[in-house]
Amino acid sequence: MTLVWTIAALLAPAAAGWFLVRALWPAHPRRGEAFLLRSSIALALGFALASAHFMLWRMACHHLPLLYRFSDCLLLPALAFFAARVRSGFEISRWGGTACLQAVSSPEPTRVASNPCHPMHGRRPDGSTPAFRRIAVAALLIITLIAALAALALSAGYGFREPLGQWDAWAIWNLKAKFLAADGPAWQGIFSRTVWFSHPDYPLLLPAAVARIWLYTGAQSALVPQFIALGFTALVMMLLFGAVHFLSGIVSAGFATLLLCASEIYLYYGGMQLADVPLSLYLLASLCTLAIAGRSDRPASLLLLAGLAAGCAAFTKHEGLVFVVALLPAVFLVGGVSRSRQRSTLILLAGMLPLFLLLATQKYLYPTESYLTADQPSSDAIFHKLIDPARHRLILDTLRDWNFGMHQWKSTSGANPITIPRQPQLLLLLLLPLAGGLRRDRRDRFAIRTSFLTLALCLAGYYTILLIMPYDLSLLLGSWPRYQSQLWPALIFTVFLASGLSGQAPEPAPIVEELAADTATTV
Amino acid sequence: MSAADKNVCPTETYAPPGLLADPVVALVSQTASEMVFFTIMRSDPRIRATSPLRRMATGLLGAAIVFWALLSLCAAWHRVGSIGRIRVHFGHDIGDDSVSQVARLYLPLRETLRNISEVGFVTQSQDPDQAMLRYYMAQSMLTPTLVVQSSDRPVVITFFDDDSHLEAFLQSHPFAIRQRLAAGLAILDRKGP
Repeated sequence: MTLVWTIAALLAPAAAGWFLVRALWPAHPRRGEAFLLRSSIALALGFALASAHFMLWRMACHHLPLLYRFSDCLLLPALAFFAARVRSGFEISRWGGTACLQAVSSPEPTRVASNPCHPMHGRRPDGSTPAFRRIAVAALLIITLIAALAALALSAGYGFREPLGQWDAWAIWNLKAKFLAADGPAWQGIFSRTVWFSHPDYPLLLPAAVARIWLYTGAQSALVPQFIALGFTALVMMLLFGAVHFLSGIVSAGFATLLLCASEIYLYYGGMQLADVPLSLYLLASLCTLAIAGRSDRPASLLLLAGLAAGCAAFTKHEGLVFVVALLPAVFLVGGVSRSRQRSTLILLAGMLPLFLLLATQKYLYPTESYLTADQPSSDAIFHKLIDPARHRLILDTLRDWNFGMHQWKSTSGANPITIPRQPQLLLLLLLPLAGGLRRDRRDRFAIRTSFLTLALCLAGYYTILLIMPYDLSLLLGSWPRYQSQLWPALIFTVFLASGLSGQAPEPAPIVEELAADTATTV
Repeated sequence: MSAADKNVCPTETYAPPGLLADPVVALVSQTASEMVFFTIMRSDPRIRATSPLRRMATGLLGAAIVFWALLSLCAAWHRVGSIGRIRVHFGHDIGDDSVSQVARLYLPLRETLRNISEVGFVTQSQDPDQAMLRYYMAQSMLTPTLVVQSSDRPVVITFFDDDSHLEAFLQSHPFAIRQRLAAGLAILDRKGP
């Protein structure tokens, strides 16, 4: 019976997420091509919603009744399914991509060679692709797949090496999960001052996800958080590949995924069960959904999804709140004062609202001190820290050394100290726009500018918070790679979207042929 | 907007002017265009690289990304030596690293203290980091029981370096041993009211 419940606990969020994304994803000729993208967003949102649902029940009752299990495994997917069914009745959405479709539906042979957007570009007149090119792309995809599997195995290897994870895992996230999994009022110990070191004010998406599975398995196995951590790492890879594939083509997607796979420290954090990897997933989901919304003529539902993903980020870590605080002004500033952009901001905000309300309820019902303000001697001290040039220099030196230096990074915590050499991924990423040029796709301009501005504001936010933290700054800066890892997948996605390496994705040939046939029939 | 304008793809890249006029650049670009990774980069019609030099640059960059990804993964595998460890640990909850070793000591306490909401904790070690690790791990492993760093509770856990410290503690405090788990590690009950 336990096995049945456990399988149900894993399948129910996946189904709920799938139907939710189905309900909010507009009809599009390339819907099938977006399968990986939609699946990864569905899984990410599904598990976040299941965690939120768990937290609602947890705050409502000390003893989780059997009704919770039925609600979790049946009600959530059923509601999402109902939403998908209702939505399918109205689903008539036109995309910006149809302009390209119309353009190529009456192809001019002379334009094919000069227009890389044309589906026939690089193909023989009969529409086939030369064999050597197919082999080359297949080789890249095989390399990417092998690298992704090796990266996941490496992440799992780190996890098996330290099954309890790094300090943040066993002293913060899994400790909270154990409280949440407890029966009776003991779960409220999570907010006790006795466990001050676990930061009682932190959001609870990840602990709730772990506690939920523990509840079904009936045992607090250390394998569950390991499995969840590995799942999130895999989802980030899937989402990055899917999003770049959808927006920029399969070759760009391969290279983007390879860049992520080469980031050993990111894989290390994944294996160490830190919440930074789930956070990076939700940041990426939010920005890529925003970019896809930019290509839609009716982007409201996608903006809602982007907002929901941003809300999930805020419910994962406080840095997610920084992201939300950065995203909203970025959308507002880039969009300008036009009414449609104001509406976009409002829809985004509406998407964030459910998980924001949950977070606000947690903070209201269980008020705890934040270490950011609790240990500050005075507001004057904050001001002095802000204008202290030595602190600025220390942070900037760390940023420079980590990204462009030749020193090595050493884990300061954990049972098995690990040394990871500095890696040139950021340099490789920055070279992309230099090598491939910049992109001038009008439809992506809003998303590119918003993403860059959001990431820049996030960095500025992290910088400021580090500046005013009332602790030893040099010790705090040991965590800088972790903060940067939160933004890393989103940065890869944004640079690939912005670089001229990627062009406008053409529509698949069969649809083009159908349209051409339709046009011919009409004529 | 004319029909011809509509056919122009909105995506364009900046191309450096005049580079193609240089025969050396053109020759190098042509040769490089046959490179495997350049072939990969060209094989996708979505990839826009308008000049040969730029195409060569993107091809080389692609090669660098593939090379670096494979190299760093191989190096990481070599460094971690994970394969052997995965075989060792697969199927076990707790490993044999130093953190897990401390955690393992608390496993028998979980059942014993399940119904107690709060216990005291006393530790002493020559290594202050080890003492802190013992306390934090006690809280982590015994959750949802709250572990308070104090001997002012009816039930107290002691974790000393050895039994001699435990005996000294028992002589100076009104406690009796309920369960001894390892050298210096025990559950104590307060004697009397």
